This record gives sequence, C-alpha cells and structure tokens, in this order.
Amino acid sequence: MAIRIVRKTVHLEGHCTVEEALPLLEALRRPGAHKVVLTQCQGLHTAILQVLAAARPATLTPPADPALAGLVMPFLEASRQAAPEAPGAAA
Amino acid sequence: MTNPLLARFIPEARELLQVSASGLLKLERNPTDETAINAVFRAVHTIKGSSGLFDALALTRLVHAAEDLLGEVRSDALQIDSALVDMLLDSLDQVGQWIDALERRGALPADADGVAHRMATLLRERLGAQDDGPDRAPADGPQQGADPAPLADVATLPPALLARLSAPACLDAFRRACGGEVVHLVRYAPEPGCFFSGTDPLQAIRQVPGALALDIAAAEPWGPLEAFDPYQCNLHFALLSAAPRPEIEQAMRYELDQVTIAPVRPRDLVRIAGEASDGPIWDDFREAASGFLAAGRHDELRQAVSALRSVAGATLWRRQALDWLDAALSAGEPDPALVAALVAAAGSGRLDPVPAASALTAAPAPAPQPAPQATDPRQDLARTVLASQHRALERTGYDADRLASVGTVVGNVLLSLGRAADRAAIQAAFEAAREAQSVAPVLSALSAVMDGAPLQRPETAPALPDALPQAFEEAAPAAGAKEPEGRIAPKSLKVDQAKIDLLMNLIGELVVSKNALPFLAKRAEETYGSREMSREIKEQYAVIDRLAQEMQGAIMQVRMLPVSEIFDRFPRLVRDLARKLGKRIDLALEGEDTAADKTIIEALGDPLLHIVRNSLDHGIESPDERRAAGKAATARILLKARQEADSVVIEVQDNGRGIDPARIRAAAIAKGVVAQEEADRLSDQEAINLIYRPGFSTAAEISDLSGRGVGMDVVLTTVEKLGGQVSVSSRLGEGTTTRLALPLSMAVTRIMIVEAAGSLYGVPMDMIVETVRVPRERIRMIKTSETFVLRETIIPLLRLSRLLHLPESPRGEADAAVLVCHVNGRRAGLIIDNFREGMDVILKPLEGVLTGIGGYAGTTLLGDGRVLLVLDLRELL
Repeated sequence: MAIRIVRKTVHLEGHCTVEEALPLLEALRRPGAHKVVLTQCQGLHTAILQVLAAARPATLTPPADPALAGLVMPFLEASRQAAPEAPGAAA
Repeated sequence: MTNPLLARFIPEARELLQVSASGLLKLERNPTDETAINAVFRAVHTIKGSSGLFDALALTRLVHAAEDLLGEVRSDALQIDSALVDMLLDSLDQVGQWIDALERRGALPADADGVAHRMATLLRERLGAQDDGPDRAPADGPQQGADPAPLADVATLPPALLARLSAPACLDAFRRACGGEVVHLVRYAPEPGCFFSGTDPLQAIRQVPGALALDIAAAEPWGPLEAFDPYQCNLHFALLSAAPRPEIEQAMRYELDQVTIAPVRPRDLVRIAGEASDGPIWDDFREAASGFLAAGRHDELRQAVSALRSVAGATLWRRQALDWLDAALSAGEPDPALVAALVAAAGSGRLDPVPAASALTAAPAPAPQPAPQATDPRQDLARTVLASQHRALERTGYDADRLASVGTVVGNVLLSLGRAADRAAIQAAFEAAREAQSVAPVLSALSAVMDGAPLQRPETAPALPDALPQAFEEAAPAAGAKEPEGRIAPKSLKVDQAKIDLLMNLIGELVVSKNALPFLAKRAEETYGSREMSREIKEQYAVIDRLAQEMQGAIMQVRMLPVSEIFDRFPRLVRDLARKLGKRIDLALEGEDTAADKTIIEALGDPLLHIVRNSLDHGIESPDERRAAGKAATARILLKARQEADSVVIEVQDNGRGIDPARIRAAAIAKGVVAQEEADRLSDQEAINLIYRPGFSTAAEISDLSGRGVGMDVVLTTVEKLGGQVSVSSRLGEGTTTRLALPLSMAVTRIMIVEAAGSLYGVPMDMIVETVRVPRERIRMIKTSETFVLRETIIPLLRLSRLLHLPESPRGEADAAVLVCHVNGRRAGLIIDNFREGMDVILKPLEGVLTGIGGYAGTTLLGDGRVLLVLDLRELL
C-alpha cells in the first residue's frame, strides 16, 4: 500500500497509483491541518499530484528522490502559496 | 517497476536473448542449420515486436537492425560468418544490458539512442555490403526521416508560463537555441477523462527526451475541495525540450491529439530577474558595447561582456542580462537584433521587446518585465557606508590613522554582510596601501566591492530548482545510492514448469495411494476383526482425502491464469499499430476472465499477437477504402474468450476485407508452397488454410508488423503442440474470424476407459467424436476393410484388438461397440469390446526401456493400483 495515514499525517510511499487518489483526497478533506510526507515516494500518478495541488496540505515534505522532487515540488509549492484562485493556466 | 507488461517482458526477453545467443553459436558451427536460423530469427522478431510496447525506442531499433540482417541470412542472401555472429552477439549483449536497465529503473540509459544508432548502422553496413540488389532500407520512418520542423510554425511562450520556468533552465535552453539547436515547446493538455483510459500524463511527459524545463499548471482554478473530482485531469503541462521533433512525437505518440509541439525562438526565452543597480560602469558598458555592436566586432563585445560579468554581482538584474547576452553571443552567428536588445537591456536596466525585423516571423515577443525586487535594506546601507568611506579617502589622500579607521569600518560592514572573503581581500588591500603609502589599492578594492564583486547575500543564495534539467537527464544516479546496482530480487517466483508438473504428479500419486485406505479399513475389519481400527482408519482417510483434494485444487490454481493476462497487451498494441498504419480500429475484448492453464495462456501470447497483427496489416482496410466499400471508417477487432466444455476458445474477429482465396492461391504458387494443379483442386476454405503453410506470406513489403512469413505457420505449430486447433473462416469483403481452441489444462488428461481383449485401455477424450453401438448387419465389407455408414458418411472400421495384436474375443451376434475418433484430420471407427467410465488422469509418459514402444501415449494408475495404458491413436491408426 503506497498510502499510509497516521492521524493527520499522510505518508505516500513507493509508487503511488491512480487508485490511491481517492483515499488521499478523503484523508485531506477531513478538517484540520494536514501533513503530507513524500520522502519515500518514488513516483506518483498525475491524479495524486493534482489532489496534492488542490488540497494544499499545511506541510509537505518533498520526496527524497531529487529527480522526482525537481519535477513536482516547484508546482506543489506554487500551488500551496497561491491564493484560493489557482495560478492561471494559459490556454 | 509497476508496469505488469514490462515485468512480463523482461524475463521473456531474457529467455529469448538466451535462445538467440545459443542459436547463433550453433549457426556459427553450422551456417546452414535452418532450425537454428529460424529459432534465432523468431526470437529476435518477438523481442522486437514486444519491445514496441514500451518506451524503448533504441532497443527496438537495434533489434530491428539485427532482425533485418537475420532475415537476409535466412533467405540465403547473406552468408553468416564469425564476424557477423560477433556483431550480432554484441548487439544482443547490449540489448541484455538495456533489459537490465529497464528492470532497474524502467528506462533505457541516456546514451541508448546513440549506442543503438551506432550499432544499427554497423549492422546495416553489413547488410549493404553483400546486398547489391535494390535498396533494402527498412520502411520505418522515425529512424531515418528526421524531417526538419517547419520553421514558420513557432511557439510563443506566454509571460506567465515563462515566469514559472526556472531561470537557469531557460538560460540553458536559450544558449542551445542561439547555438542553432531547435528547442521545442511541448504543450500538453491531457483530456480530463484520460485517467480512465490508463494514461498518466505526468509519466507521459517525463518520457519526452531532451527535457530542459517542465512546468505544471492547473487548467481550471481548483474549486472547493468538497466538489473536487480527483479522476478528472485538471493539469496542463509545458515542456522545453532539446530533442528533435520526431523523438518528441515518438515519446508522446499516444497523446499526439492533446499535444502541440513547436520550436521556440530564442528571444522568447529571455527571462531576467534580479535587483536593480546603477552606476557609471553600466553606462560605460552600454557605450562601448553599442560601438562594438554597430561595428560588428563581436569578439570585442564578448570580451567586454565577460569582463563586466566577472565583476558584477550575480543577483543584479543587469548582470543577469549580461548572462543572456553572453549566451546570445556564444552562437557562431549571433542574431543582431537579439544582441542589440540585450545590450540595451544591460545598459538601461530594462528589457524592451526585441524588434522582430531580423528574425523569423513578425509577432513581437512578449517581453517579460523584470520583477521589481525589493533590495535588502542592509545592502543599501552598506553601499552608502562604503561609498562615503571611498569619498573620504579620495578627498584626504594617504593618512595612516584615517586608513586604519576606514579599514575597521569597511571590515565591520563586510563582516555584518557575512562576506569574510571580501573582508580578507580588503584587508590585504589596506596592507598594500600602508606599504605603498598610497590610498590607490584601497580605493580600487572598495569600488570593486561596491560595483562589481559579489554583493551577495549568502543566506538567500538561490538554490532554486537548478536541479531540474540535470535531474531529467540522470534520473538514476542519485537514486543509485539507495539502490544496489545488482539485479532486484523479483517478487514473483519463476518456477520451472517441470517442478509444478512434479507436484501435480505427486499429488496424483497421493490420491491413488489414499484410495488404498478404504481397502485397508475393510481388511482391518474383515481379516483382523477390529471394527474400531477400521473406523479410525476411515476417519484418518476422510482427513487425508480432504487435504489431498484441497492440495490438488491449489496446485491447479497455481497454474490457472485469466486470459486477460494476454489480452491486456492488445489495446495499446492495436492502438499503436493502427496509428502507424493510418487505420482506425476499435478493439473490443470479451471474456477476459476465462481462465486456463498457465502453459496454455503463456503459449497463446505469440500466436494471438501474430493473428491480430495479420488482421491489422492485411485484413483491415484503410478508412478511405472502407468508406468506398460502404463500411464504417472505423474497423472493429473483437478478441473473445470463452470456455467450451474442456477447452478454452479464443476468437479473433475483424470486419475487414476478408481473405481472398484467389489471391492466396496465387501467392502460394508464387512462393512455391503448392503447385499450380494442387492449388486449382483446393476448395476456397482449403485455399484459405494455405496461410498456415510454412513459408507463406502475401505481403509485398517487409514492415515491422508482419509479412516475414513467420506468421501463421508458427500459430498453427504452437497451438497444435498444446493439443489445440486453429481454424479460419472468412467472407470476402466482410471479415475474418480466427478461432483457437485449446485444452483448459494440460496437467490433467480426460480419458475414456475401454475394454479390449480382456484388458482395460484409456483413450484420450479429445480424440473421441462419439460412441455408437453398430448392429452386426450394418457393418459392410469394402474389399477387405470393414466399414459402416454413420449419418450418410462412410466410416472405416478397425478392431482395437487387431491393432494391438491381441487375440480377439468373438462376441457373437451382439452389437459392436464403436468408438468414432477424429485422428489426423479424418474419422475412423474403432471396434472395442465395451465402453467403461471416463476419468481424469495424470498421464505419465513411457520411460526407460519402454520408451520405444509405439502406440501408447503413456500410463496412469487406477484407484485399485492397476496400471492403465493410454493409447495414442495417432500412432495406432
């Protein structure tokens, strides 16, 4: 299982597939400040990525894998810092 | 490695490589060994075909080249020799290494394309050297047709997008673009529902080679989390790639509808951010640079730029403009308009739109304005302090006391800014000033510190995503630290077929010996008079019986797989091939849950692949042709699996053009498969069956899909080896259906027990068509042979006891028990003494000294310990 939830902390580990998007979203929908730990994450599906971007967890630990971190973290950081209206995407 | 197809491909490919290597070695010893060349060719052909499913273009290319060469060897156009074997073995070793790489990190190494190109070229040279005939270049586009992208169609980067990309990555892309490389902007807007079709857009865009910078953005603003649907893709991607357009298209080949690829003009990449700065040094530069530019003296301009870059602070806006200018000048033929605009930018501190006069098209570039960055207040303060010290020294000239106090002030200022290195340099300058009794060294050092030398704030030194471009290129090495370089221990256990068979045999024996326990219980009661003992034995028997049955079920389960295991690879394959062929195909799968023995399922993969490829290549017409024939432009291929009694039936239906018997006849004659008169005698159905003859192929040209003549005869051999049947039915203009019927399980054979000459024999059930009792008077003699008529067909009769050379037991006037069998494509009746029950047995082949005895398929044990001989009717009749 690539998703592990310990109270308010969601650990995403290994390769996170599209099936894990829903449990992740449900975990992040619960009220309160959430922490998402990607340290052990080796790959994630686009669906996971957009849940993380949409849910804007309070803290987000980047993946240990620098390639993956370089890929997703700029986007996730930008999403987290953005005001409720998301960064405008060009058509 | 999450891709189950890849997980299956890797061991399969290793096995095929092994087969090819040993075949090649055989060939080296005996160059005319046809079995060996066919085996090698088939193995390589299969690797090539399967590898097309993955993003391993380089691997496919190399294997394709090897296959072409082997094809020539196979058709005797090329003589195989040791040097050639060496080359082929080297290629296979390379493929083996790539397979390891695929297993370790799911991708080929970065240099794979180059290596593949070099090795394939060498292989093809060999092809050309001996083949003086017509140009044999294979018909695969991406390999050779590197068509230059149409330049008129350029992309502009929206400022918002540009601002999100990392500056170093943009500068890198800019430098490449100025140097004449074509940098492409790949914009990818996946369909919202794409997750449902198994697409992972992030994964897809990561596959694009030559990535320089990636941007991910939300297509629509994120709504409230409660209403958010995680399965609607709301992300758009933009990527700068230095790869040629065909390679990008290759990587994104499944998403081309959602992708735009266009070259980017260098000037659109310019993205400068930094602190504003001012000073005479910049004005000087502007004047000098403008002069050099006007005179076209690029070398001197370059020197001026590098001189100023070495002194100006790295975070300054103008210094960054110089970086871009330097990159623009690094090209052989700098674009004058671009250079002029950058010179003006460095001179004035802001970037004006590059005039479009000189370059490709009109459309003024959207010039990103530098973000007005708040400068550190301490920096300004420090600058003021240093400037006032500078002025004071200039005014007063050399004065030891003053110099000492200035030294203390400057030292403290630099210390507070955390610039220990500069502080040391300044103090050295003060030492020099004291020795020379002059303020000059200090003055020059101070101006350098103020204007040029890095007035940076180490605590904010940007460690932004510089890592990105490199990360793309060397995704592995960093991970390699955690990951042992050795082969990963596979999670699934690969067990030799023979071991499972052994288990199956053992459980069969256990069942048989277990069946002896009731006899023992009976003996305990009757012979030894102990009822209690008998009951206990029976209780134990019940337990052993249950366990043995569960065990048998479990072992069977190990071997059963759903056909989805092989069906799963088809949607992507069909889509891929359909695109390649320019055909529109709708693939439907039915009955994926149907399970069958692992051997059957695994062995079915290749035959099915060949059949589907044949359908795609030969059966399905192009959309225009279909419309002209009054059919829907989109063709349909249906893969259907179902269980029918003891066999699993797989059908491949297409609604294409059907098989034309006349064309098959002509092709078969042309290829020397049949003679003219034989072909004329064949019925249409028989003519269609010619496609299963070895060496048959109607394809005029060799594509990487099919048409090499390995196709349908392999299908037939494979399926028959498994005890199955293949049949094709086709209606010209309406389509073709290929039907494969295979036994569900190979471990257990269903037999019927028959009596002949006082003994029991087993007959495999799949050979028996029906059992009838024929009255004596209906048996007719034709010459010396007995026959009878069954539903208006004459069936020849044979007596089993005679076939086995056993004494006959005359049965008087009773009806003859006849087993009607289907053997070697015809029917025959077997007269036996009596029918007995059917049963499932585990067949053991005859071993040792009995091996040579013909007519028997093997033996099995009956419940009471007797040995039952199972007949092989193919040999007997």
